Amino acid sequence: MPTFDPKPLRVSCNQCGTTAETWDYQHPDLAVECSCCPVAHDHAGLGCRPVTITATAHLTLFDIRELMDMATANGTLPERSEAAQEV
Amino acid sequence: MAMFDQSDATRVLNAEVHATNYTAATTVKTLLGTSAPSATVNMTELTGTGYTTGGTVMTFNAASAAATSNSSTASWTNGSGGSWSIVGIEIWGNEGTPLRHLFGSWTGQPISVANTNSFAVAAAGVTLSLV
Repeated sequence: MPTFDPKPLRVSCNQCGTTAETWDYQHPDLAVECSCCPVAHDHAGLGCRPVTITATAHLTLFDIRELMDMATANGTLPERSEAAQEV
Repeated sequence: MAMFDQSDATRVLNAEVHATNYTAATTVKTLLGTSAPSATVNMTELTGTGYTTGGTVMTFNAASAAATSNSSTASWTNGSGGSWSIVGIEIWGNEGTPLRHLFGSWTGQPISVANTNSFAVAAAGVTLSLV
C-alpha cells in the first residue's frame, strides 16, 4: 500500500557536526544552534552557515494531491466549498 | 501521472504488451530543479556554481516488491552567491540523448539552500515505488 511518510530535513553544521531536524524548509539553517557558527543567528532567516541540508524525495505513481484532484474532477469528491457547507 | 515521464511510460507499456524491447540506461543521473516537473514538461534545471548541469550519477539498489531507493549519496554546495530554491527532482538515463525517466518533487519543497550551504541526499533518501 502507498504510504504517506513525510520526512523533516536533517541539518548538520559543517564545522562541528551538530545536527538537528526541522520542518522549516524555507529556513533550514535556523535549526542548528552551535557556538562555532561563523554567522550569528538572527532568527529572521539567517542561521548557521555553512550547513549541509539532507533532503528526501518519494517518487510514486500516485500522490494524494493528484488523487484528490482526479476524484474532484470526476465528481467523486464534492468541491471543497460544498464539503464545508455540509459540515 | 506522477513519477513516469510520458515517453518512458510508453516505452514500458510497449515492452510489456508489444514485444518492443526496452533499451535500458547503464547509468542514471539525478537532477535538481527550481520548478515542478510533470509527465510531459521538464522542470527548470538548477543553475549556478556548485551544480553541474545534467545532474549527478546516482546508483540504486535492486528493486524488490516494486520499490527501490538510492544506494549512493550526493551533495551539492551552493556557491552561486544567492539562495537556491529546490523544488523538483528528475532521474535521467544515459541512453539516447539522454532520456528522462522519472520525476517528482522533494519533500516539503521548495527547500531553501543559502549560499555556502550544501544540499545532500543520503542513502535511501530517494525512494521509488510502484505500489
